[in-house]
Amino acid sequence: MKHTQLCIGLLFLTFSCYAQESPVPLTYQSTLLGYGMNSVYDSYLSQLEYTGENVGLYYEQTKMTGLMGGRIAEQHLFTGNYAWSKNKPETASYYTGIFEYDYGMHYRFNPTEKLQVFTGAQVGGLLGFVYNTRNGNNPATGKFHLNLGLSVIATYKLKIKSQALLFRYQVEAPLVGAMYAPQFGQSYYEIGLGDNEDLIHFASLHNYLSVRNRLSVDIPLNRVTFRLAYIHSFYETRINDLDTQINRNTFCIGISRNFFTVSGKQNHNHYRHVFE
Amino acid sequence: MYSNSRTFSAGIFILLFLLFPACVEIEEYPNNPRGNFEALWKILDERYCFFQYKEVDWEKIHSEYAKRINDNMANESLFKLLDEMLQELKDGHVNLYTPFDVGRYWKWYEDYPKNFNSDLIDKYLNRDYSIAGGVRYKILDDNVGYLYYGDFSSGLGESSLDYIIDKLAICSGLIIDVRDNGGGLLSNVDKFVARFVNEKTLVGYIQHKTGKGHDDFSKPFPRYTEPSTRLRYQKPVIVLTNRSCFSATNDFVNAMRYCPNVTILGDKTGGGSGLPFNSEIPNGWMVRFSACPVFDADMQHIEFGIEPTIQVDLLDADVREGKDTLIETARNLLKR
Repeated sequence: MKHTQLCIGLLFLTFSCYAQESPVPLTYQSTLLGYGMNSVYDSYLSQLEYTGENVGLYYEQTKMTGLMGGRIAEQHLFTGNYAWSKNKPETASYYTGIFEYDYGMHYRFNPTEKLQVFTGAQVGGLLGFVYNTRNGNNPATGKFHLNLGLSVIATYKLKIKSQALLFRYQVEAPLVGAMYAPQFGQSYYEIGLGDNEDLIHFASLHNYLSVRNRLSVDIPLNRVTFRLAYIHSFYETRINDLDTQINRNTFCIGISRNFFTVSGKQNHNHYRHVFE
Repeated sequence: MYSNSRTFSAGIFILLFLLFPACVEIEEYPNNPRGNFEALWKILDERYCFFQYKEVDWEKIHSEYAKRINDNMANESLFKLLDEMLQELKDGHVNLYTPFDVGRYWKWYEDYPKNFNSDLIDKYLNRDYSIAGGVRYKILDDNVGYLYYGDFSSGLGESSLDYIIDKLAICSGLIIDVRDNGGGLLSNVDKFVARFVNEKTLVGYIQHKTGKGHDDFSKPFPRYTEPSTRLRYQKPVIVLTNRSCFSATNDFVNAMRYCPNVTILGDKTGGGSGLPFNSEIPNGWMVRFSACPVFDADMQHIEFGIEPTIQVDLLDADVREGKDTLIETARNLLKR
């Protein structure tokens, strides 16, 4: 199941299309709240997998720039996710917090009038923790990553009867970067004493795999556009004989907005046709 | 443009596809007696830190105990067997926690004289003692300061230490009684010891495992005690010990050995120098085990305890007279 989801995501990374012109520098913005299920395996804390629920806040802003004839979009993505889970016998709990920020630049293709595809690169970071409620000297692990990765977005406009819909799919996968990881049996007490060598490691696909899939539909109703989304996030590290795997499936609801801002007389004149 | 981007994207896809086998496959043991036995054995095999020092043949132990596992065992029988296996490690930091019992190895103090009587401590403290955090303290009749600290888990704030030292500064010396203190937070140890050194002092080393092999260890990392920038005690100090000084208390006694004007008096400590980690087996039982060995400043193990500078046992004759032999000996030494 996990591999199927990942493969679907990666297939989108191979997708590229012919380009067409779009004259208006639109900004797409959405804020979503989500709830879903998660599983966590962290061998520094336990040899058992924990499963439970998660809640998340997702913010996205994608803005068309004037670069390359208006074909470059810049994107800010912020994710805050908090999860609680138990081991199978329900004798212990994990609390997991993950915060992610990514900045991306995408090149836009317009294969058809209804379909747009954006492919590009992202830089970003992840900060997080997994806390085990009953461990003594290994109660938690910290997560820290700086990434450079790929991202693909596909949007498709559809009209069912009189209802306009916008389907959107995005997949992101970090490729290289740096990550924090303690040694196999190293305690945070020892790190606190100053033994902090070899804590930051080169990260790439050999020891770090992370894929995020976001599938959404925008439903304009009167003056508000609602967004329903399914977000799948897969995070895995294998370093220093320590394995971590965090899998989240989150269903979201929120509001999206499409707008553009014009500043300065010259810009105003340039986009006058939009208002008239 | 189209051709280039398609080639690039296809290349990325192939690269990612080839690397997919690197995905973590979570090794799961079945939740039955054999699965739980194997999971427990493996956790210790990969993570326990004293196999070599204690010359434990863990493979042989696996062979011996695996024969005794059967899939129809009740939980209580399984617990007894797993606990028996863990006791082969002779380690007070190795425990198996279940909803109905806790597996433990307590021979490090059960096989030795107690050298401690809490009724006597109450008698010395009487009713006019002070309490600061987890410390009970007073000035004895002969102007010797006495403090009892029975648990390094109980609170020990910097302000409390200031008050204690300030009050006992007029004494001819200080008795720090940590008998029957089974350990607690190393941060409290560091805070306490910092009041008795005047310069940065090497008190030991710590290691950690870098891999799953029995001899995969990091380079020893030195542990220093920095002098506190607040009040520090400058007069003679005697630390009272017995076999029940374990874990963080063992670490405290070790560090105090390297402080000026400090004498260790009483019985050998109980040891327990491995910093314990936790894990669990498929049925949810938690196991605690020594994960990081801690050494003294000469890179010697202190897992089996620390010898006192002056060996003194609690005498029955003194107890009958309401006296604590260790406290009385310490008072006499401090009055000189």
